[in-house]
Amino acid sequence: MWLFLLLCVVILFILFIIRLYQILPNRQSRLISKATIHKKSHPFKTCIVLGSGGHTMEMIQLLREVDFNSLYRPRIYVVAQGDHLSSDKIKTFESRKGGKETFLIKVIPRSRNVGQSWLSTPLSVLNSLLACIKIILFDLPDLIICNGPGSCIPVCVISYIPRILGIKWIKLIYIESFARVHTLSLSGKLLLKFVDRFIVQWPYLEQKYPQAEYKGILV
Amino acid sequence: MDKTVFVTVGSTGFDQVISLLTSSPSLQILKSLGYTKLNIQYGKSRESYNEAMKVSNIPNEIQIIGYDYKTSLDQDMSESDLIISHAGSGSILESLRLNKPLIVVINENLMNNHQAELAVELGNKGYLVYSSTSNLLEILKSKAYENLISFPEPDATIFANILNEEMGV
Repeated sequence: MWLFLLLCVVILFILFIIRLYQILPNRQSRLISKATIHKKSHPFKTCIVLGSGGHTMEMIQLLREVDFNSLYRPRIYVVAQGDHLSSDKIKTFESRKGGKETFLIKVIPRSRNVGQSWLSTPLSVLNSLLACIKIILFDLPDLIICNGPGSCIPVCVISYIPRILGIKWIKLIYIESFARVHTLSLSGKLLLKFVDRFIVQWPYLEQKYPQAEYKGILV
Repeated sequence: MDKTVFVTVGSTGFDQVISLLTSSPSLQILKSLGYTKLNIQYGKSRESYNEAMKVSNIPNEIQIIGYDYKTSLDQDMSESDLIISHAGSGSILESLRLNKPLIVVINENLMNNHQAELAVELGNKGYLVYSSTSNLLEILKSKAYENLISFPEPDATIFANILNEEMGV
């Protein structure tokens, strides 16, 4: 009986690994144009993860020429609880860009506040995970854009659930911060192998990490 | 017309820089360079700032004002003639985009200071001048920040094209 259960678990685990291997982005297949394999029709529901000050400022620069009116709408901005500055900046940006009101801002609770006791941490991590699940699994965006705040980790992890189950391939676009010249951030290191595009802002990083792409000055 | 130096230490504090820039030697240098106003965003270094304001060594020619935080530093940066900043990427980028002479002070007390990477890289390319607290005054005096190269404008279409390419449009 126990042996049978164990065998099931092992098989499930192996299947999971095989599936993960199948769906992990890799550079060669992209060159053959993975874009056509997972072709979607526009408009694309776009989820954008914002972080504190610097991250949001860079994200706004990145989005300046992105077509909001016919291609990338609606836009769901994910903001950490209490980050009113990012919310305000995005609202100003959206109104300046002059698109129709095709965006909304969703707040996720922080997974750990500064000075919070470690005992209550698992609870708040769960809380913020639930919020991410709600956003990603209920809204099922076509793509997620993130540039490095800690909150993009749970968002990207959860976006793999529909990918593993074959329900939807949510594209993940990661842009490493302008501040990272020679080394990747922790978020960058964790997500490097799991995102569909990994964009860096310094050529040294492209030389060091084969998955990374440097295309010029972005912000 | 004021000639202004704007100092920003970001969301944390940088006591040494605040104390140093408000010290007698520094104010004398600023005076000799023709500066008439010192505007300081001191963040958590309020005590260093208040301490300096108590001592009456401020030359009549220089006006000092300060505050802890503002939602946007854009106006203060735009109105300044020289920016002295901490090594945070946000402040650096904002200053470069405004095309202002920029000195970045690297805080050697921060461990694993990856932010220094950015300041050093941009400094070596001639877009800004970086310094430590120990040679800040010398750099100020040297006016090395007056002959900087403009940081190239970003091309916002690059990212838009990456997205379109990835989405197949």
